[in-house]
Amino acid sequence: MDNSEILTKLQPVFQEVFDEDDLIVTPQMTADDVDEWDSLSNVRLMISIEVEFGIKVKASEVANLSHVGLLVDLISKKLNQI
Amino acid sequence: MYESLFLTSIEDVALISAYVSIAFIVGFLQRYSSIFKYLFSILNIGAVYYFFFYEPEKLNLEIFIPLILFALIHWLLLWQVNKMKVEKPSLYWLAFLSPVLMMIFIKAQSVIVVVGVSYLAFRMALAAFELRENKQLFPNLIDYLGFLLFPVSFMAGPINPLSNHMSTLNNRQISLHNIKFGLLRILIGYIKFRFIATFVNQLSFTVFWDNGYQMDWVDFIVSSTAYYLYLYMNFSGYTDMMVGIASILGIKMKENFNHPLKARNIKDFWRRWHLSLTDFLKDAVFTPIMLQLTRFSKGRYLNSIAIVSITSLFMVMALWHGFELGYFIFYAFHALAFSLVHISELKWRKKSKISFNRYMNNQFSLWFGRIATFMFLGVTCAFLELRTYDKISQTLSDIGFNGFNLI
Repeated sequence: MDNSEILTKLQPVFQEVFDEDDLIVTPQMTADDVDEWDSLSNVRLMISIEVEFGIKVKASEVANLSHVGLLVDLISKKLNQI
Repeated sequence: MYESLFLTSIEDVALISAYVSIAFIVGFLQRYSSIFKYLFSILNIGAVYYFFFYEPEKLNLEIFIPLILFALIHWLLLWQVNKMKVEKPSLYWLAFLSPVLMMIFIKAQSVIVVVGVSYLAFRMALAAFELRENKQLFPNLIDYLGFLLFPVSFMAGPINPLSNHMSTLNNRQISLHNIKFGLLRILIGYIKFRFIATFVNQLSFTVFWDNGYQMDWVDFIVSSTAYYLYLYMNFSGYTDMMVGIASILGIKMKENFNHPLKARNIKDFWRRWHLSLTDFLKDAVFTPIMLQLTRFSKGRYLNSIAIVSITSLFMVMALWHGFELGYFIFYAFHALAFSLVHISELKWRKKSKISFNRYMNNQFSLWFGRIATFMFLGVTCAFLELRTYDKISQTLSDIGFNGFNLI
């Protein structure tokens, strides 16, 4: 799966977690761009991503994710390890 | 609160100025030879010993040398974690938890007092946390000791991450802009620390607490609120000065405050207060607990899980301060308020996003929230000052809560 496919698959996950149907996910997007995106909803996001992609993320990996582009890279790395 | 060697007498100002001058020259020369980078680290180690441990009549090497040895062992642990191709979780957890256990051990006994041990322990644990995912970050021994024993942040933070310290140490930005910024921050910090904090401390009249002086509860709220302002001015003023000194030396320091007086509720407050501590605990305590519990519950009971994770985070913060009852009461109130805000925001947003956004954008609710948060902080901060059961019960009885008895 390439990064653009991952990003496309992330779109509905973000929309469901943040309860915003018109949310457009971009690689540059950060937590500051979404009102509801705090450390609590971030965990819900990670769990939803784990379910969607069949991967497992560590807390130390979550800490390094400053924008969606890095999240996509992490998912891509995890998928390649499977 | 942070009455330290720094800025309490002319001799202290002279000493810190001498350190900054030498460190500045050494830092400036680093562009010509990397040997000056090591000299900077050695200068830091020596300065920490001289500023915080050495006394004319007592060398205190029996405290300083074990501390250096512990730091050395911790570096060896990090080295082992770093060179493993397949991660050994036990080794990582040893590197992460051993400084915290060292801190608890030192705080639990009353024979030895080690200045700045809480900050030192969390800097070490944070280094292990960062290195787990960023192996290129691994420093050599001299740089690591120079990072742990950086006199500017040694006593009261900020808890600067290793990544911040190393990136600026390896790529020093000693520039006119950074010097001007640093001098301005020192000036602002000094005004807050020396004048505003001293002034609001006069208003707090905490000397009347817990000594049998009967006061009205309104007096107590005024006094306690002034005490909160004193804590903020004292702590943020000190941090401003340290960030300023580090900036002059070309070292980037993590900011500790983001206008906490503007917080509209307790959840918002903790996004603005003591950020170097809360960011670390959020990543290292809150997120792992909430991730594990959410996985375990298969996504059910999210509100209960959030409350458990929030409470755990605040209890670790209490433990970081010490074992006194007042710390735990303060953080228990904050955990409760934080959880209430979180769950009510979540429910409100789910029920009607439009109504929630209207509330968020309403100026009246913003200012009402700010004042309520300020008052809540004002009242709960008293527990940080009172600390022990006897003092808390005496003060509560002084203001008319005679029924207060925990046992």
